[in-house]
Amino acid sequence: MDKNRKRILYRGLSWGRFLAALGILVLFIMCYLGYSRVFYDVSVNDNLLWRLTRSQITVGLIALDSVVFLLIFLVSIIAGRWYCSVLCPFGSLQETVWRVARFFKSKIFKKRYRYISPSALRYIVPTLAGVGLAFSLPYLFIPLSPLGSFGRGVRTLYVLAIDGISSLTLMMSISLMFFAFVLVLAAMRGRRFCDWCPAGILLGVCANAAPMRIRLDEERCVLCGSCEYVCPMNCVDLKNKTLDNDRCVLCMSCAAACPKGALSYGMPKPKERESRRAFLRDSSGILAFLSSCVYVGGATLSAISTAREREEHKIAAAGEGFQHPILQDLPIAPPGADNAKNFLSHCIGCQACAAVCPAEVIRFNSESGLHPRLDYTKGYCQYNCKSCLDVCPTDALRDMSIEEKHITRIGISFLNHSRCVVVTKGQSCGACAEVCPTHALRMAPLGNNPSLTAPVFDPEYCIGCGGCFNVCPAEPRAFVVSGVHVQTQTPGIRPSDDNNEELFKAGDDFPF
Amino acid sequence: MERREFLKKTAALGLGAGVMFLPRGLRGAVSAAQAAEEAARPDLVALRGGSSAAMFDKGIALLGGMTRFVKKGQTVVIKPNMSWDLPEELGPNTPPALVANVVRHCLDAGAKRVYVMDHSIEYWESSLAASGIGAAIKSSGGVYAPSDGAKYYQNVDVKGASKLSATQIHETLLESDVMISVPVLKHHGGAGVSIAMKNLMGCVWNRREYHSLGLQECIADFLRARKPDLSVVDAYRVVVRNGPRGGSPDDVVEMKAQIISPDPVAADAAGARMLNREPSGVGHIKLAAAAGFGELDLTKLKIERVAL
Repeated sequence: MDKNRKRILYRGLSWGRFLAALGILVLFIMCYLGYSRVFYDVSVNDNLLWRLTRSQITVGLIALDSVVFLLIFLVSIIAGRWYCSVLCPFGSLQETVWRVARFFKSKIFKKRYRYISPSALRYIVPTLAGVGLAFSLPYLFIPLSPLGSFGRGVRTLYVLAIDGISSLTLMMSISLMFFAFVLVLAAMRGRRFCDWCPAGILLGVCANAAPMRIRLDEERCVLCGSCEYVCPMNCVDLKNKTLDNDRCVLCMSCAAACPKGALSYGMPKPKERESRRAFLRDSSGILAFLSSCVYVGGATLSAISTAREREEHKIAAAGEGFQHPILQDLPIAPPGADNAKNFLSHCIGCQACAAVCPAEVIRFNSESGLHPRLDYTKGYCQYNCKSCLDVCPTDALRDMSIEEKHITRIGISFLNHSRCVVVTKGQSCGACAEVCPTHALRMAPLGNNPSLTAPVFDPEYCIGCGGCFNVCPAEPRAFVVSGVHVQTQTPGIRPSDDNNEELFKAGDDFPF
Repeated sequence: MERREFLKKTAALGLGAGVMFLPRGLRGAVSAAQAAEEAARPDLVALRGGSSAAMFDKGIALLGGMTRFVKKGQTVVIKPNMSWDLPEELGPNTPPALVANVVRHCLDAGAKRVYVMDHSIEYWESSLAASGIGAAIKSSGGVYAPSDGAKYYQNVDVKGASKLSATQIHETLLESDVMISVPVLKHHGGAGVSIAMKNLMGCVWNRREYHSLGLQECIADFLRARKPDLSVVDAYRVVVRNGPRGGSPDDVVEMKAQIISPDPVAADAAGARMLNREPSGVGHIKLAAAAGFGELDLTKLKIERVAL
């Protein structure tokens, strides 16, 4: 092919790829800024962020969704790291920042980007993440997850913009500092996080064995350095006239920039086939392979043990009789968390659940650390909504039918009659019973006054949605809602008391 | 009672004028006939046996047509009950067909714009979809007025209020010439009943304030801020216990009825009777009647009872 036509082709490919990645990044950011509800169709319980999170590799790995994982794995082992190239929002964000910085740099500093040799972090990080997953040590793998780090960064900025700087907590500032660190690094030196990202290393091992790859034609190369300058991964090594295929994210920038047409993407020529089998021969390849094995192994172990535990949990939850617990102030996890261990060993803190919650009760605050918790001061969990567990990419919130969610106890309320305004002020209220979706709270006559009713609470039917706490007009409120150690099932809606009252019905004469 | 007296006086005046100005032509005679017709109109129409929309068609005709309440070029706000993310069969929301029909009657009477608003309790978008009212507004030509943020509400002082001396009222209420309350008849655990007056609680931003200041008093006080010009109480499917949300088919009784009245207190009194409650035993009905917003004694009213 003529080298000019080749250059035009790769320029088109390069820009097309970047625009696709940018599009997905913009959609992700919009969803995290609360716009997923603009694309949210309540009647089918579907939203855009749900579709986006389904495409992430965490769904395949931690949630053990083999279809997604196999698809990404197959693409990577045949054609390289296309997942990192287009679908990962954190990678695209770093690349965007880098491109903007490069634009200004070329004007001001005229500084060149050079090859960066792979660091030992690429073996350490996946190993740590794998160990963290296998032994359920959330603080070991949460900070290393690309989707989690991206989501926390964007969402923390959003929360700060909405609630003000006073809402900043320790965990939020740590998340924000890490996010800023990665982006500053990106501005200076390209997609550095991708070099130690556990998912990236795993797909890099696949890419090293992939027949479709970027190749550098040593005979055509004149060492002009154009490719080194435009590579966001800094993986083109001109000193040795090679490039690291396991780090390459197939952005095609190098091929588009090469004036001699020395770089191209595709199948290798027959004589090169031998060399690509060498991916396990050098120590770097072996270490990367081993560390990815630890990562995948840890994720699989975690997924299998959780699946088994959930099975046991189901049996235990079904057989358990109801006992009113004593008042504890446990944090409340979203529905589908099942129990603390399952939840903590799977949640990557990506905050997708917080982004889709229509009532905005899922919060990441000082009490919650990096995990989502429900805060009922500004709203309460909506009975007919299960957006959070739909959107969860790692199955930390188990998907369930809306009917099952209706009877899942995520917390339990405690009523303190001595604070209730009906009792303290002798005035009508009933706000709590009004919103209680399961009639765990109902109004019954208080004392001798037949028109004054006070709440009566039947905790067996309480699902912990927090409606009563949220609407209670008393100061301090007459309710405390606590989380539960294990999410169990309630009998459903409390049956109505037998009421033989003669009421007007169709066909009767009017009672006036 | 005041209104009837007023109408009678107007009729007498009209007659007198007709006699006085007889030589001047027919104008006086026409107004006299009109006044006589107005005097013959019922204070309250109670219908049963038809669909919600059909009962409204019949009832509003008996009250003199929608043109009596809505003049050409006026802006109307309709306040249905669409607070709950529950389907129509369970009865906590106003039937969508009725909302659509009221909107259409207003537009036919020449209304410039017909808003529909409710500060829903459950998430607004889900409630709008589940109740079917979102689609009904669209199909009938009404305008859904967003009600889910403090920015849509304005501070208002309520003069003469016993408890609710200041509140935030939805902007469309301040903008509109005519207000129509289109509630659904329901049991209410705290207030006793939820009918035309309790429905108006969805016009304010801070609901918690009602409960902390005194629910019954605040419901009655709201009429000082804005009294609906017409109340259309749907009683087709009625949540008779565990109200106002209900949520179980056991709580619903099919009554297939409707009450229409320009007097919100009378409408509430009739509704309370259908739920087997004495109107004087319901705090907010009693308070509103005492404050002179309407008549709770149904025997003093001219009631037209219609079976379809």
